[in-house]
Amino acid sequence: MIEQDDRSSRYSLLPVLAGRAFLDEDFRERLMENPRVVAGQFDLHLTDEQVENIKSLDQADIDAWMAEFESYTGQTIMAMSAW
Amino acid sequence: MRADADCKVQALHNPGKELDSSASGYRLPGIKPRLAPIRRADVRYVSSYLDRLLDSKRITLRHSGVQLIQRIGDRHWSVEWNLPRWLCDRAGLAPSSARTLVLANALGLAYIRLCDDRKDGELASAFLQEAIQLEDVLLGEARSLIVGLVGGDAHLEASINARMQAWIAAGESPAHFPDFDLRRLTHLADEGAPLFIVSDVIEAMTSNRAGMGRCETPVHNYLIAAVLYDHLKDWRSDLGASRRNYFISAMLGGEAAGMNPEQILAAVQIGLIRGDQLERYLDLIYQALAEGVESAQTCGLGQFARHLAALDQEAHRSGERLLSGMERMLVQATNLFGAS
Repeated sequence: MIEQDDRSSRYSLLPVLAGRAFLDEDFRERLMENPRVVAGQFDLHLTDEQVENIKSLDQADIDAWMAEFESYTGQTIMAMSAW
Repeated sequence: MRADADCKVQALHNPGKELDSSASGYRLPGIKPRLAPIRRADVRYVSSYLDRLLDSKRITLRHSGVQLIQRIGDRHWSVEWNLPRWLCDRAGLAPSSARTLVLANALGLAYIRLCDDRKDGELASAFLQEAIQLEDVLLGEARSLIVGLVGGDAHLEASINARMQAWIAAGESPAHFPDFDLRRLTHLADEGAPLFIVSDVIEAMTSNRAGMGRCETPVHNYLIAAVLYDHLKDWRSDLGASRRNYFISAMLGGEAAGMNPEQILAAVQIGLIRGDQLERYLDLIYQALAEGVESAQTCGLGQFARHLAALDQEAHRSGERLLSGMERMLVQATNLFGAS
């Protein structure tokens, strides 16, 4: 369902693929194992450099990215009641 | 993206006019956004009233009861504290009546918060019986104060029971999120249905001459926005506790049947980072608040309109910050792929 949604998104596919790779561990494992095949399922062609970058993604980058992601989604400031 | 919230709103809504609310200013003619403060004297009055009441009834959780009033005395509950006075002023009722309604409404709200805490498993099991006893006192006193204002009124009693029943039923229903159309989300206001009791009481006190029915529209709009925002704010903790949540339903585009919590977490996070569904969800909040501003202004509740306008501005600022943050994260992830 998500992949179908991704195809119809008005956002370009590569960033969505990248974002999902950071957020979805199962997907990230499949992508790192076989970048071209998984990207191909999204009609995306990866360059050799991109394939190399994906395969060499390290946990520190992912953790840092996730920490920043959480800092945005955890912000709440509105003076609105909690019914 | 604008649509009418419900049939009540539809009657007031002017489809040709867009409310211009943005981070830079609120430009609806005649509206100056301003958050309404809670009167600290009201919080002190309700706290000391409850303290005396619980002392006289020898309630074990007396201190917790008073703490509960302090907890709902923060700025998040401004509408709930101010609404009785706004509506009484509009109906031309005496300040003493308004003060009693503020008290009854605050005790009723404390009852609801305590029930929610208990249902969410946030109370220690050793205190459950005492908490239920405290709930009974809070609700009983709120009802007594209302009877003191209106006397015995079978119609009002039925209205109050219906409001409370709507609130209970809303808490037990699934997080049904049919689509991003505000007209199909009017049921969300039932989560705060007891707030309408204030207008029911005023209507009874004025023998139905106050026209409170019209004043329910901005309250309705406010509650929809509040519920949508609350579910956006709390989606992580709700997911962790397996509680129903409209934001999760909206991001999933339907039921989460067959998905485990990790899959739901990933799907919602992807929804966030993609931004399009998030943007539509935020639009619903902006839209409900903007409708509220318009309807409050139309029915002569100027302070309520200004408060909702300030919330609308704050919602835009908060929403834009979240959207831009998500966009930034998406760019960073893409750059790490080497895909510039």
